[in-house]
Amino acid sequence: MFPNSFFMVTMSDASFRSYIGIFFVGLTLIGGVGLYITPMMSEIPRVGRALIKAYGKGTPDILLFGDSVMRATRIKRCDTGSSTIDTLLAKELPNLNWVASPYSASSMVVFNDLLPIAMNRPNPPEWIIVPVNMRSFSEEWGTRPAYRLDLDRALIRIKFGKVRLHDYFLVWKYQFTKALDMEMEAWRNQTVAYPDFNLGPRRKLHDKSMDLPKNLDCLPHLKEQYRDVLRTKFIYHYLYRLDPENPLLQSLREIIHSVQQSNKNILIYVTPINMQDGERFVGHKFREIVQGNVGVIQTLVENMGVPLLNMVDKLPPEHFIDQYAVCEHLDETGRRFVAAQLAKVLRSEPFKKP
Amino acid sequence: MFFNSYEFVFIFLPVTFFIYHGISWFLPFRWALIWLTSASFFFYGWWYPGNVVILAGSLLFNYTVGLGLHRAKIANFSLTPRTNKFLFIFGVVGNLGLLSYYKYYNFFIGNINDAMGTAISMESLVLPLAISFFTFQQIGYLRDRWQRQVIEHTFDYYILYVVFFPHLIAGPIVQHWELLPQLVQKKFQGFRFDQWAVGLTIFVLGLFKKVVLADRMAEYASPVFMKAEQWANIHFVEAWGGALAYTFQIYFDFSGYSDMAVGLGLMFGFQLPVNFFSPYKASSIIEFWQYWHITLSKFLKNFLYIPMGGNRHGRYGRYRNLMVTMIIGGLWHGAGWTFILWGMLHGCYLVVNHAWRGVKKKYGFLRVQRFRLVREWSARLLTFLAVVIAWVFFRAETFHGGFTLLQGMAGLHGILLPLGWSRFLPDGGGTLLFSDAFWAFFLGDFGYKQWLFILALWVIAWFFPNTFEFMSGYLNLLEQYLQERIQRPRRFPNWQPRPLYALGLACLFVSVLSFMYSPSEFLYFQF
Repeated sequence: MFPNSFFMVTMSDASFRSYIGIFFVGLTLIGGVGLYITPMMSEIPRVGRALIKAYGKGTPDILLFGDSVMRATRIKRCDTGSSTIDTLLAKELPNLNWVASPYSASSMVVFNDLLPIAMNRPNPPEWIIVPVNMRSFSEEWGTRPAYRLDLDRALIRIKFGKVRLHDYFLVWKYQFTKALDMEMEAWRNQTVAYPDFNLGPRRKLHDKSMDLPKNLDCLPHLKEQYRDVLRTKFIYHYLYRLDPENPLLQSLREIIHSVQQSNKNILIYVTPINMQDGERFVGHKFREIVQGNVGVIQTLVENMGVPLLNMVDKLPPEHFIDQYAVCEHLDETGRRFVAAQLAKVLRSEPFKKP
Repeated sequence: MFFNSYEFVFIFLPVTFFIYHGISWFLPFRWALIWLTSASFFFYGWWYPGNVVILAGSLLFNYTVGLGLHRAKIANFSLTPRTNKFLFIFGVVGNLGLLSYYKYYNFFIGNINDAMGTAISMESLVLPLAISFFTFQQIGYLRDRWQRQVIEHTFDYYILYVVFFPHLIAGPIVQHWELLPQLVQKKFQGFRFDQWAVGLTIFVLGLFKKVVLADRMAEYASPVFMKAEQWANIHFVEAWGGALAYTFQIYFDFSGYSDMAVGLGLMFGFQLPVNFFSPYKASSIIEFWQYWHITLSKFLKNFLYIPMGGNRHGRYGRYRNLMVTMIIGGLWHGAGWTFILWGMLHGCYLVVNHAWRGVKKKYGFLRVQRFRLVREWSARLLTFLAVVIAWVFFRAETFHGGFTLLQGMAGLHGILLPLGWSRFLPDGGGTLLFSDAFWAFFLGDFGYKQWLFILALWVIAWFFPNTFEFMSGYLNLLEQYLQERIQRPRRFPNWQPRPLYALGLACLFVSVLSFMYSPSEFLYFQF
């Protein structure tokens, strides 16, 4: 289209021309490689690879979806050990082959996305164990941009599912840009109101005045000093009213449905929360509302013919330790308790090894 | 539209660039310039199309006055030199009137209300973007029109000179002799790969400075200054952290913008003046103002300081002129007493600096070459500290905020270490006594990561070559200013159109794109 003279390339121009060419080619390659490598470096593909690798070793009997409760606590000096729930369970039931998903965030949505990786294998597990964390239904978890786990879900699709072009956009958006910060900023400007409590501006709930000493769970005698902050946190985390139409419950329904469609078994358990401290700082309403919310889950699960192992108020306060306090993270004794309870159910009918 | 926005980088710039060069080939070159003018108006109107009307009115007014001044001289119309001078003053007053109305009206009324207890209502005025820049540019143009120093040109060239988008919004303040001749005399030269390569490199380097460096500093500086405004006590380390973060934020922000302007200009085949030349390396305030916002300094010198008498009325006359120039310079940046104080501080610095030079000259001491390095570096450090202190008032919204931060910097609110540093303390804060909770009670917020970043930028500002030194192998493409200042060979590596540099630039650009999701304003947009 252009006559040769248009570019008027001289000898010295040639190096400039190749410089610009290399810049644009490099830009495309670096950007493309970045988008390709990033998904491989994230946690989700590691989880998937770990699952696939574990399957390669034999026929697993049980897949345990994990969350942060499964792991050792972050305040090591307060903990008495570092065993995770899946390793404790494996010790309790040595005759079973285990596959544990080490994914650390409790989200039914992500569990639902991860499930096909296991179920579409030639040798799917006979049992699926799904933990239910009561905090994961809270207003914060439902709305906080980072907890929507959009990036995680895009990564799962890229690595294991049907890739959409939009997923690469999501990877770029959340992995390389400040989009999440911006969304978080908008989120902080909202107001939080539960049917029974008005917590006010969210910014206040997340500002420095709400910080607790990192070792507070190890120093229970100091808790009284932080009564107001602890009360607010207990309300914020647990005293929502769970709607049966909550999207996370919808994902739980889908998980149960998928497992049942495959003629496999599923066990749902509710992880313990610090009920005694909740009652201490909030009052009797705490137990009432939490039990009501667990009841919603129980109804849903049992209506689908699946048993629910409810451990929500089975542990005293001393077994809850976390650097931020008001959390379900457990010490070694607490994790042993959960593992023992799961093992007890698994030893009984119909959870014996086929 | 910001230079650091996706719509600029991926749509506006490529479209404008390729159509401009396409038109240059297929049509008379003047059409390409008309395209560039249209694109520049679109760029300006992107924020608020109503601003275009004000800009267009200003252009028409100044060109008409300029035409009157020109004809009066050339054709010796009936205008006498006196009426000619009156026409010039009319032009200047018209420009300053527009600027004052939009920028200083509410400030003026607010002060009258405060001082006299009146309740004169304020206007809800939105400052037209870049008004300070295009007003100063056009005042310079009128002065030279009056003195018959402007080359022959038509209205379309004049419009492009003022509205050329790389410099329109936040400078550099381009004088007519720096751009008009290039527009009027430019002939089609083909598609220059060398200009494109050098311009693109400078643009990306500027973008990196703004998006990756300056915006990170803003995240550190803003909370500290906000805290200072809220009557909070700011501890020593935190206060210095905030002040230094802002010091580097404003430098990398504004010099990044100016680099981008120069790079963009070059991509379209035009040289724009350099605005920054490593100002924090200056070892005196006089030197600092030779390297900081060079085009504004030149403007204030040529159009204010020298006409007021400069240094021609004795020592004290010079000091007075310096003070007045710097105060007006401060006021140019914004309608606020903190800007005036900033200008006064720099005026004082300059007075002291000139006085010190006089003392040195008179008594001849410190001429010895011993300890030259020590003297040089202590002078640089002293200059830098003086500049940092002045920036505190430039950034602060109120005197109270500025003084609170200064008190913190002086240690009057305690000298405490950042919380994150507890890990370097005995037992890493591991025992209960020295736990994080313990330190959290005693320590501030500014962490070691922020300090490492600040120190890294300090090293870049002091020891690294600036963009134009880095590009000094291709000075023939850049303006005369640089050719005078950069003597080669230098110790640092020069940019070359080599594959490794191209790949490095691509890496920088990728990192920039990652941070560009939320384009932030350039600091000088508000001025």
